[in-house]
Amino acid sequence: MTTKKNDSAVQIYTSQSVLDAAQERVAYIFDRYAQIIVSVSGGKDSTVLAHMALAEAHRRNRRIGLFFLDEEVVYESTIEQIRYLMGLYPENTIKMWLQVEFALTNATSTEEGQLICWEGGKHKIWMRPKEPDSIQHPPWDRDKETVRNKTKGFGFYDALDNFENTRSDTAFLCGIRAIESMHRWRACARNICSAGVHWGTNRKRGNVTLYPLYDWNFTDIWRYIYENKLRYSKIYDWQHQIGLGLNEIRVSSLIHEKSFKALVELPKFEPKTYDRLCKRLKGIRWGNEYGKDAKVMRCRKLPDNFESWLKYRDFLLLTYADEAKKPIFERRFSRQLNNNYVARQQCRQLVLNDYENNLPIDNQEDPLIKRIEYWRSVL
Amino acid sequence: MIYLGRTHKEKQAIIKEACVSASHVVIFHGSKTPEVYEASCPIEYRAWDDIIMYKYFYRLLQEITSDSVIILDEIMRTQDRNCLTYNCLLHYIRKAERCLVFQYFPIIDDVENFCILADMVSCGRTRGTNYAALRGIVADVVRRDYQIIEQPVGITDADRKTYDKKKAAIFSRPIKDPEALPRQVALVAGDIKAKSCSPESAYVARNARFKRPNILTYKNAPRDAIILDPPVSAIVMHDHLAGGADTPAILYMSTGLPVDKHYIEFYRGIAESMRRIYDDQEK
Repeated sequence: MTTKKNDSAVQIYTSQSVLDAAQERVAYIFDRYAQIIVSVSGGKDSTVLAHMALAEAHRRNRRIGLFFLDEEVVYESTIEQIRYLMGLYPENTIKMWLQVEFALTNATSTEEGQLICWEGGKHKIWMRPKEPDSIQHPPWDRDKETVRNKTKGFGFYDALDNFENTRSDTAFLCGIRAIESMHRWRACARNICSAGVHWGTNRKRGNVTLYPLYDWNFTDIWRYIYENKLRYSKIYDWQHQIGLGLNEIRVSSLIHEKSFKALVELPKFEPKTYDRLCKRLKGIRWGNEYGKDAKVMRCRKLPDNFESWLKYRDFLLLTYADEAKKPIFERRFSRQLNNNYVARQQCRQLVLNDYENNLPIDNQEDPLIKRIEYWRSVL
Repeated sequence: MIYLGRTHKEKQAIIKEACVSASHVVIFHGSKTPEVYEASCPIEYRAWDDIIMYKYFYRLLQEITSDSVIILDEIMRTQDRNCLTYNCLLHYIRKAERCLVFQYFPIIDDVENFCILADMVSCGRTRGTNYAALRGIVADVVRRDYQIIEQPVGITDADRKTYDKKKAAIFSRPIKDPEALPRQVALVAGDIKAKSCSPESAYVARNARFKRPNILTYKNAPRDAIILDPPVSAIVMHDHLAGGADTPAILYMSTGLPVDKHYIEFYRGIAESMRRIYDDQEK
């Protein structure tokens, strides 16, 4: 294991291991900040980060927060993993398990395009009861509550923002790694939050989000888990057993526009979770059936009964079930180019109910047309 | 070590010498049927399609040891340097200490393809390095520069009109893959050229559509057959030309139509890239 600096898009190997470097970063955070909160998701990266921070807290006889924003519709294994992390060093842990109402996109249904997690009055069909020691009511001032987009409603990131605003001069630790995607690399590298610390972002009220594992690779994470005999979500083992690629092995929510593919395998892994989810929300069986279908949810191939992506897009827009969300798409599409390349991506947004624009559209001239014109001139 | 441009006989001599102390030899071959070699220990042959299969992958990883010799025989079948098959090969190579790479031509159609061979002999240490930055990869080279010799064919105005009409028809259909367009247009030119074929010479076409005894396909045509249709890819052309002790030439029937000009330039470009690699190795 070696550390890589992210001051350019290229990984530069140095003589220090990523483990030593991350432990130095964690020690620096403990020296610098009196209040530390680790965000956990139940995945492998946050497991490693939480363990590393808790071990440091234990050495220093300090208490740190473990923050989990519960989306309700998650694997049961994720919940077990969170309970495990919360109980790892109980004397050093401040439990911050947030189970409050917020909206989540449901990519599997246009009729029920949003899930209101932990919705009041629906406790009989909640995926599971709330934890006895969780935070069950918003801990922020409701009058000062901020919402990024009122059309979309109070969502996941609003819950995070408002929770963060309840704190000041706090270091929020997050287990993202630059190697995972260009977006994450940019999040890790674009800002310098304080002298010498380029692996973090300044937030409001003197808060800061820090990424101590930003230069870790996939293999570094698994090695740490193995060497420290940590427990990890069973989902990883099941995903590995059925032959999913390294980039597909991930634990996340089950229904939003980037994670719905998990529904295809869910009945095999956790039949009871799948059963509860079917009762909780519309579209789950459809997601299970077509989550990896190139002509349906992946929008890779044009369905046979449409001549072009443009016609398919128009059809989807015309028949879009949620009248309240329809104008969001219409406004967005009116600002974009009208070609098959863009239309395919628009179809994907419509099929996956992506009114939040989380699957951004590459708005450019159709590259296919350019190639065809090139060959027309050459031949 | 990378061996470029070797014939079967030469490969046999190299393999025999390299495998004297080996306990186990595995030959991965790019061709559908293996070229058979002799060695002082058992040889296992695995085709391109077998390389990624679980039933061979895990067994071979257990069986290949530092006493094994891995031989890659004309294994460059795709330009995707990070494809699963090359990745699996690297796993095998890392388990063995000796690896011989035989490739008749050093590239498919781009100078960067040579890096695939470099990755194999360096156990993947050169991955992420482009050709210009490649250092310390020495190949044992027998030059196989090929020439493109144009064989002009006269065409009439009517032929030219037919070409334009059929080309327009191809472009007016729904096009899913624009890269298939030159291949489709080349068949139109092939139909025009077929009228000028002499019964005494052997020709090679993309498929058996002409049903004439002297117009063969790339599967069974002799290396010196005149090219009527270019093949679907440079890999097929190289398979057609490879293997002999002499330097092959591409005898290309050319009508002067744009599609023929395109293909002649395409193969001249490949020949130029090959020359660059040969020259770099000789420096």
